[in-house]
Amino acid sequence: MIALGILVFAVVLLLALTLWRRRSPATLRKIDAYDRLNREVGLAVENGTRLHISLGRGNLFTSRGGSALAGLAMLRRIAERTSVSDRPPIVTSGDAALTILSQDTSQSGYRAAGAEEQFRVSAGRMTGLSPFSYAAGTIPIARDENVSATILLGDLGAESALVAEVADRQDSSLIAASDNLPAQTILYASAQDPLIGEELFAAGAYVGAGASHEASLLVQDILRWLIILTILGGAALKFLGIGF
Amino acid sequence: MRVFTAAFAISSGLIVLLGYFFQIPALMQLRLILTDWAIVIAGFAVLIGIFNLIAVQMEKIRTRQKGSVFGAALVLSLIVTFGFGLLLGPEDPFMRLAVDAVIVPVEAALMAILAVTLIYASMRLLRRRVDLMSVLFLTVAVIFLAAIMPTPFGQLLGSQFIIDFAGMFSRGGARGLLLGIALGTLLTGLRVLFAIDRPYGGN
Amino acid sequence: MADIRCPSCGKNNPDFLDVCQFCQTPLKPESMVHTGENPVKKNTGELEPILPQWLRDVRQQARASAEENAAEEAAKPKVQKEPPDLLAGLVSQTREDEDEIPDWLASINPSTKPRSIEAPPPEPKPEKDFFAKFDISKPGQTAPQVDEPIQEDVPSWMAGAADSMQVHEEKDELSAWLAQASAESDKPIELEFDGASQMAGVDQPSFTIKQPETPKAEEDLGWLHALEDSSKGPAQPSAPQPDLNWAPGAEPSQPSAGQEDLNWLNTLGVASEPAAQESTPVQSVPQTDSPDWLTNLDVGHGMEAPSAPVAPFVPRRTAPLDEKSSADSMPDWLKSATEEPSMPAPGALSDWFREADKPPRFDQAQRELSTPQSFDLTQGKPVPLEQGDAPAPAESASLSNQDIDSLFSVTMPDWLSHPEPGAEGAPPSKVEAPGDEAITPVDLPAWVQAMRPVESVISETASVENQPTEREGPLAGLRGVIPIAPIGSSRRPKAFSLKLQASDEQQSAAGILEKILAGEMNPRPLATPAFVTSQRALRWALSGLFILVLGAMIFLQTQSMPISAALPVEVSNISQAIVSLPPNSSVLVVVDYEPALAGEMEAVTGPLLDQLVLLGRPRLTFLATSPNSSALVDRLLANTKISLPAPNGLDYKAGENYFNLGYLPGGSSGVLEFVESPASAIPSAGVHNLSEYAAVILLTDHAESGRNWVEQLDARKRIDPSLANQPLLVAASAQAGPLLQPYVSSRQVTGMVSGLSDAARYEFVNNSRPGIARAYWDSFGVGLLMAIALIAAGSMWSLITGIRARRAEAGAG
Repeated sequence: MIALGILVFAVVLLLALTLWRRRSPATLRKIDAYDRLNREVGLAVENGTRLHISLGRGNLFTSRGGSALAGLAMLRRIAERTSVSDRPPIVTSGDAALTILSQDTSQSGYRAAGAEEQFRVSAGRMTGLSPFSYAAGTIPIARDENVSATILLGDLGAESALVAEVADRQDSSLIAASDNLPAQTILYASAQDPLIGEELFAAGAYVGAGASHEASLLVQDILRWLIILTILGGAALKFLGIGF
Repeated sequence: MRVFTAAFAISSGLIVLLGYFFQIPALMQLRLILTDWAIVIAGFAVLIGIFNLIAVQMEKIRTRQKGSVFGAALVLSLIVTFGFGLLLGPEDPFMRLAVDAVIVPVEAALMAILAVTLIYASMRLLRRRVDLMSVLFLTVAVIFLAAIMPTPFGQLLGSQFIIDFAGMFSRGGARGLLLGIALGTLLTGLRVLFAIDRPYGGN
Repeated sequence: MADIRCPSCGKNNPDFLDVCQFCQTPLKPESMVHTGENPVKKNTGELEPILPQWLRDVRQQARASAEENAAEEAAKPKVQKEPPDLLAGLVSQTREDEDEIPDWLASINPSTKPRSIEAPPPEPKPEKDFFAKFDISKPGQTAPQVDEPIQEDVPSWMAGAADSMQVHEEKDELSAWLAQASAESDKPIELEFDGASQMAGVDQPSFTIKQPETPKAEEDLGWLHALEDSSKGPAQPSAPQPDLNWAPGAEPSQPSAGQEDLNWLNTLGVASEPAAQESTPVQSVPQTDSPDWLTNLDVGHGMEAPSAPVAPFVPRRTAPLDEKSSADSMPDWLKSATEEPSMPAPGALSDWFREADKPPRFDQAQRELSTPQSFDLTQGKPVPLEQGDAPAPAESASLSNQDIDSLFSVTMPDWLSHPEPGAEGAPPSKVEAPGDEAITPVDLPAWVQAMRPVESVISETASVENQPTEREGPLAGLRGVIPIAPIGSSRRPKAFSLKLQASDEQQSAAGILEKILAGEMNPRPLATPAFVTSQRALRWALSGLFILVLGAMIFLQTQSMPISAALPVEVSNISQAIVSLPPNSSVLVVVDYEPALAGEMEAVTGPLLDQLVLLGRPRLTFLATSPNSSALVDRLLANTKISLPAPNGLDYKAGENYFNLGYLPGGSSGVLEFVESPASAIPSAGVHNLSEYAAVILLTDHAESGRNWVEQLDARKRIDPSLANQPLLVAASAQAGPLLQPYVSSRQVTGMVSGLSDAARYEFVNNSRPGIARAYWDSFGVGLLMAIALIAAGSMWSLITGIRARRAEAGAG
């Protein structure tokens, strides 16, 4: 029931703060990776190169699907902005359902930009069903498709190091974030501007996906502080011998 | 249509979610049914994904792009494996040979390349980014490796202390990261649950 | 004049009209143009009847006078070339009717003999016809014969016409007088001084016009004299005249003599002389139906002629075109047409400007007349200028000034001769119209007054009184017409700098942009990466080093690295849990790792499964939560020597000792469903409750899977007490172990073996079975040692080179 209470509390906060953020947008702290992301999107359109967006291999049946959904929100905005590009972005993923969702999201972005006729189904690809087969199928895209920036956002494991290595060889920008800790460790050493922890879930807010994303960040902060207080309080009580 | 999909998504999500919290037989039964439906759809999504993979590779072969040869090998091997799997079954020694001789060695090799890649990336980290965190990162990594490294003389002195002490910070930090990730996953799921984000189209 | 009744409206129209003046209906059938009809070639002579009556009369008179002139020319000894008769075509070959030539036209050539008009005497024309007054040609007058010498000069193409002219009596008089005029072209032209030149206020040299011989003038200009007489008559409003009655003082044509027809010309010539010499008014001709304006004009000129009277219509006397023709042979009004143009040539005009400072060249007698005076247009007389406004007499112009002044030999209105008195800012005076109400001036609203630009201009300019009087030019004698604006006034536009105001940063940015744009046109060489680069070489070196070293150690199967016998606590728990399991029980083994980590996982799982199988011979049920894991079960059992036949293995057989349930879909939901009801999730499981399994062993390479099972089992244990003692054993890879450690610490996981190090110790305790971990142990140690060395050395090298490169960039940049 505690979990249900936290859930209800989060829902109420989310809805209320979403309405509030629609009226007064939030001022977000500077994250270099997302600044680079916005810049790379514009440069790709201007240079006639393409973006490579990889959503990882997150299964929507597991908790790793949350990072995949965050990647889809970012994909929606990027697809809308790059719809006028000569080379549309390529979206790769290691899960079949995620591939279908990425295609549909890209099409929504093109439709919002009024360029639905520019959309191609081949823009969303499933490159492999296992992590390393997914990485093996992603490497040729990052190497041969005139990619100027590689964006890894989702559930990625250690195989992300291979994709990062290819991006480094091609001298293309790498913006990567994963909910997997080993992947975060690897990407911290590989990417120019690493994203750590829940910064992955802030992608929607930084690309302008909507007020709900900004509200989500605020709810996360509130709940985090509640957790901190709970942990400290529980530790203190445990230290004082008060069991529960 | 978009309203119908949004309504169906919301109702399904709420039923499954409430089924976790409330042990109502009807609710539980609905949850199981919806879960079964989702599993079936995910299975068909795998087939669709495979068809998408074939289509992309065929397009690459047709337009004779770079790497189209490997695309042809992929499509050919897929067809052969699928055919033998249907005919012989997954327990057939031929299928086991495909797994033991092809799949596992290939992925293991990629894992080995990963090791070299990580070492190379670690070596170039300070050239790409020179700051306190990078230096600390490398230092801790080296210390950990040294602590767990077996030596002809046994473990190094104080390796266990290092592992426990440094592990304390690493495990704590990892826990914090996992909590943040869990919160982000929670809010993301709630946005999808209440149709604020609709990745299934119409957004 | 005969009237023609309109066939449409029935109203009377003059005969010279072709269409009705009321309804625009053609009056004459021959004048109607019928569409569709082909044009019929006709002789021009046949077209004579369709000409208007007045034109026929004129033509008749011209022929008559031409005949007379021709006759006179024939009497002259000298024969000169005559210009081609351009009007010969007008002579009709088949002229039968005797058109009457007006006297004025017939008397153009004064040398012509009194001619007789062959044409029948014209009918008495009504007063409405203007030309009727001029029609003084006598009936019976014939056109003058064309002179023989004249015909000789006619070109061949006009010979036919000349022949026709010889045949026909009626000749074109104009050609004759033109010829006569050309013969008198060298005769000096004498112009008369008129008062208009006095308006300029500049002493203008005047010139006189030699009067033609009176008898001939009288003879030829009888109709002019008649006009003059009529104009000198009582100034009474004449009877309502028709529209065409614009000729003043024209009497009906007298059939008596031509001299009477040209009397008005004589009167004009006579009037010009007395106007120049006498102050007496010219005798006026009894006026019958002259218009008032001409009467008044003549009266004005005649009654108030000053010492130097000016007639408004003083004809200009120009030199005749023909030298030999006497001045008397040409009427004055025609002589004026041959005089020099009043406007001098461009060169002459420039000379006039250059000679502006020279003393004027005019007669002494005229000097008196050239005193600066302003000309009163209303009164028609020069008015002496006010003192102070008169320009210096010394400033005069040349002959061209007189020409210019002669242009203004017309009555100037008062408004042009006299500027409006008073300031412009003065309120408008009341204008009183005779017999009308006084017009009250309107006070302009403020916004209208504000729009008046004149005030702002006038305020900066001098008043009218202070402005000098113009001394030359068309505005001579006037002042204040063009306000004087100071040159270089304060209204000069403010000067603004054209230099672009740009900061240094903007200029530098502009320079960069300019370089970029310039660089766009320059082809850039494609940067082809070298096949062998430092980075690629380093990667090859690392890979080769590891392959060689570790491969050699594996091949050599060295076991120089000792293994510690002290087991970690979590590993000990696993061993103790396995020992406590009942024999021949069912154990669920969840396989959840990828093929890439199969080697590690087999090394980690080997000692656990080996001990489990050796001690209890349980029935193993394998369940995979990833699609690829189900294919790894057999490999796992084979590599761990469980499924190998004895004596190499433990001879576990599929379907008898172990079962592979396959892939469990749904992720967390599938796990939950299996935990709640294994048979519903996987019917082939053979169990109805999870408690039927003595233990659950989880083989995973990522913490997520372990977390799922831990969470679901823990939640199930709270509901099902039979699961309270069911151990959960985890065999995790090195990357997932630290993340599952809290579950171990919280006793949600009974025991866990993580990574090769734990597996090696566990295997050492388990009598080194199966031995996979021990085989990797030395290579593992050496590999770690190499990694540590490479990372440390490489990082130091990268740090030094990075600092050096940044210093170089800082020094260059």
